[in-house]
Amino acid sequence: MKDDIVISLENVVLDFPITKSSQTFLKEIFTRRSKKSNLGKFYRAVDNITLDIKKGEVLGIIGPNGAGKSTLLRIIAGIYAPDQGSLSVKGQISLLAGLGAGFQRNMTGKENIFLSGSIYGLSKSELTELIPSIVEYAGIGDFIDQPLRTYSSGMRARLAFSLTSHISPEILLIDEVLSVGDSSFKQKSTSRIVEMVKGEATVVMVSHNAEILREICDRVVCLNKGKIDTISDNINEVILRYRELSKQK
Amino acid sequence: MESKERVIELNPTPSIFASPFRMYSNISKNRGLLKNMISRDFKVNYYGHVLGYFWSLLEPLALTAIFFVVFVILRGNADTLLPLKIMIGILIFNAFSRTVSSCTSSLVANSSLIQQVYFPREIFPTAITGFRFISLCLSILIIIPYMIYEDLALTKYIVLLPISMISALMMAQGLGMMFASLQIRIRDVKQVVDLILRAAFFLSGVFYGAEHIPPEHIDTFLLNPVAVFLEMGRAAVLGDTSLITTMQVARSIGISIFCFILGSIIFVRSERRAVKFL
Repeated sequence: MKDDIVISLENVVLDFPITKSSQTFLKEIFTRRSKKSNLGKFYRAVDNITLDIKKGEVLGIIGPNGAGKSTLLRIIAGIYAPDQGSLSVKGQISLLAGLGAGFQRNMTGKENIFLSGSIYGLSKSELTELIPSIVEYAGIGDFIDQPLRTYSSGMRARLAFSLTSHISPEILLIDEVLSVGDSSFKQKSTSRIVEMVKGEATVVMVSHNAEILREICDRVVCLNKGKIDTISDNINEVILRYRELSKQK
Repeated sequence: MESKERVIELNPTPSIFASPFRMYSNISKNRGLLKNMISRDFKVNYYGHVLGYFWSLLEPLALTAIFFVVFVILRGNADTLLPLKIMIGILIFNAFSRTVSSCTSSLVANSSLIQQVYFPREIFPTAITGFRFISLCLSILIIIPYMIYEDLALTKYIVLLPISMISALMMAQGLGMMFASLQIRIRDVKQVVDLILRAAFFLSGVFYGAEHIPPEHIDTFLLNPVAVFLEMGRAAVLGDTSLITTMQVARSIGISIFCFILGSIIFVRSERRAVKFL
């Protein structure tokens, strides 16, 4: 791997099972006659993807529904192991997909910050340092010592967003978690994301928002059916291609 | 920064021999997270209970009373130390069986978290075992007033008590880790495991103990490491090791360590490929 490349995927393939239930699994064991019936049980979510991402690069991923965008992000994050091919990642990595991982409704806001923060890989001392800023940014005031179940859904989303936006990893993977809360917080959170992305970190983000992609990405990939359809630093070209693909559906 | 270490492994499936070391290093790198997960279990388990953890004392007490009554009805006679023996059996066995059972479903139970964030999944079963071990330590304190009441002196054999607790839970985590990945593919595994645990409850002498086993069967009975761990716990408190031999203790601890290592190998090598079936 070259020095300036922090994420490198080589011929990565991931097959997802179509049927997940145990009953069919058992039936499969007893009724399987040939390999053929088994082949139909999987679909190729990510098909032979080779991609290098440089340090500090901001890469956008776009594509029709079911193109494998989120799956690809989760492979890079280490959640799924590729079935074939190889993957290497240099640096500390965080995936922002859905907010508030591990939040417990019966624990207080502060306890949840410590729990969820440590799930995202922050140490206790880092969190202790960040807490005032997290609470202030979320704008929930004294509620921080109340159990999460007393929060409105907007407050919960704000706390979760505030926590995730304080994580500053070397590699940031973002899966459309952008706008939460009421309209003023929405604006605040979108600009915060843009701010995070423009920093030092290497970023891979899945988004359908052409404006955001144009504004912050160095390069955009359009995925279709698990394969790379187009990849270019000419972002408009990729977005046009994406619109074409979406129309075909 | 502690979390700098969280880099995706180039080789996701370590070799058989490297697996237990991988698990150890992953856990020691994420100690802070492990601590938070254990305290989460405490908060979630005791939330909204008026009596909080007194339940972990009351439950074994009530069960002991039930089994004592049943036993007296069945056998007609009972020595005054029987409730103590039953209580030690129940406490250690419950911790064992709950650990096996929750470790088996640990990946399925945390599926949304697993799909959201990556961190070493060994944390889940280890946090469960940690939680069960601490609860066991807290609830085993209930034998102290009983020991005082019965005028039982502390002997050097008391060291067998922590050894038996640790061995039982180590074996439990190992067994649970063997089944956790399989449980993702076949949800029936948990049902089978729970049934076996129920059988083990009766086969491990939880509410009778080795002294009620006919002498010609005692060696067979003590082939079961869980039965030996319960006897070790009793021997530790009563200061009387006449029912078990050093050989049996050593063999059982050996089985426990073996289960733990085998469990960690199976878990570490299978979980990353199993996760997509969640």
